[in-house]
Amino acid sequence: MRHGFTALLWAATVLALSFLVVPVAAIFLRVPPGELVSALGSSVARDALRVTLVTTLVAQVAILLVGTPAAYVIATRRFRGRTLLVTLVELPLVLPPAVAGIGLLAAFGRFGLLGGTLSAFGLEIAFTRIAVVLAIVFVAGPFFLRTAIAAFEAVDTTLVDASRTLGAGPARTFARIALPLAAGGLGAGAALSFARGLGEFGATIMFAGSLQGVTQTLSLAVYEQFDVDFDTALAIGAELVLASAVLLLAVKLIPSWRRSPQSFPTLSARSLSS
Amino acid sequence: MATLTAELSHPLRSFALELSLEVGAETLALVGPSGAGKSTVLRALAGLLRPARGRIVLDGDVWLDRSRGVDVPPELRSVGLLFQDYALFPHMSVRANVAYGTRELRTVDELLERFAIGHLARARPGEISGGERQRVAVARALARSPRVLLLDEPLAALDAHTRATVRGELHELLAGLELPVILVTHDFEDALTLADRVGVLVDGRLRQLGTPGELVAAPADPFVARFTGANLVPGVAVAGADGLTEIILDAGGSMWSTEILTGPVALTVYPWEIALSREVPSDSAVNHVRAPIGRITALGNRARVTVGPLVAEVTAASVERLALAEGEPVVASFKATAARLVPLA
Repeated sequence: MRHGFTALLWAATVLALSFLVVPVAAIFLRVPPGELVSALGSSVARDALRVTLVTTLVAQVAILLVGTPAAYVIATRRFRGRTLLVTLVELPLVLPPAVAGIGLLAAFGRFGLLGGTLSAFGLEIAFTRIAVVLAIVFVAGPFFLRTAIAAFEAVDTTLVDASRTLGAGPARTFARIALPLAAGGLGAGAALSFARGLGEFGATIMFAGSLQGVTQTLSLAVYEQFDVDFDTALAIGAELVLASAVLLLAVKLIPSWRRSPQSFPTLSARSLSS
Repeated sequence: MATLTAELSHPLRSFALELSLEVGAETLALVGPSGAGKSTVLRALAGLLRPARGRIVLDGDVWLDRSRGVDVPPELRSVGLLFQDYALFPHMSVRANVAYGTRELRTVDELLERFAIGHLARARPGEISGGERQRVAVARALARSPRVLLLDEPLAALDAHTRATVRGELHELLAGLELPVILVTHDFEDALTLADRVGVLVDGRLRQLGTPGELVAAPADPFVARFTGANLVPGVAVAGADGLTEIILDAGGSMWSTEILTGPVALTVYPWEIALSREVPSDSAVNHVRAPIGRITALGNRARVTVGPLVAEVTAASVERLALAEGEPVVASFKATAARLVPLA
């Protein structure tokens, strides 16, 4: 009876793991590695990589520059409607990508809410590279914002108070106390949003289209290529798997690497005195 | 001569803080039960909390005046605040912590040496002991050459053994500072050793303010008496024979005091004014309690012995000489002059 149960547990575990691993492995096993690498040399793959790198990096910089101070304010100030605000921040996380895309079109498209104003300044956003960046910021930004808020909330407020009484103003206190102490969480949040931005598909294809060399990112190229040239689609897929794996590893490692020298003060104090 | 004056008024959970203080170059201990508003006072003085109403002035510099909209931010107030858990920056070395509030590298070196933490300069706060952390925190607070020093429970985070040592160090330090120092503590012994004056804060109000000696000699109310370590025995005071006051105890029996008072009172007597003997002694003590010993707690060369409603503090030698043991009957005696009366509301 006990053996039967243990066997059942293991069977479920093996089934779950193999189901998760097989599709990823298939990407690498179907085509020999040499052909995968040469498929990456095609113009579609190279253009997609370039568009992805540029748009993801620009989006990531925007997310960090605007998101970090915003997260600090939300984490450290108590004001009416704060809970509602945090919920709003998290909404894009659960929004279906298609809804995000239609929302962005409704806001920034030519006939959208802000489209007329933008047109007056000669700005057309939809179906340009800016649209790709906006789509990534919209769907990936909340991943950073949410983690960053939690990271700033975890900073001991007495340390902030101590900094103030030691003569440091709010800006210096932010730079020397809050930012370094939240750095682990901020790094993890950045890696998460980077990974989400890299895989962005639904909102981008609706809001920016899939124009090779302009708005076609790696994810979009996989979709475009799979009935044209399956090997190229696989090669781009493999590229994305590797990038995602690196980012996932970063998310796992950054916080513990930041925390390790300082996390258990009592423990290290004891080990030193003994 | 530095003088800090503060008038503060701020609503707390179930009462309001209403406080007026004037502190010269001395150490004032604020004592009282937890939640009495002690830390709120320090936070308001440091500028970390904006009181509903109030005025804080140091030597003519107005730090806070709510009626005129003045509220100088903490970084411009020149206050050294020692936090209860020291609040050392965990991501910085000891040296960087001490140097945080000053640009004078020489000051930092001097402080590291003065507080004997030079050898720890490169260690992180997480790697040093509690006593060392306390010294780093004090050095860091002093590096800025503050004009007021505020200490929030400076000894609470330490174990009993370290506490005595650090208390001695702190005593020496405070004696050498020509600054208004406000020290928050819930330990009367800390207040006794460290402070020139003690203010008892209960429910946001200053119940009594005086030297430690004055508080012990004439506690204003039962809280102050219990805080200073006195025994409290409730009863009703009536005029008795020989000009003494007789206290008819609520628990039965009588005691005598030289203080003149009538009505419901708490008789207070300090443990070290109570003598123990096997038989009722023939000396001048008029108050005797004969009861089995409840508990004997050894405290080094002293012992606290519970006899009925009283705790007596005697030398360890006399515990041995009288062969005192828990459960054995004993007589606790004290003079009528040692019995102080505190009116009960």
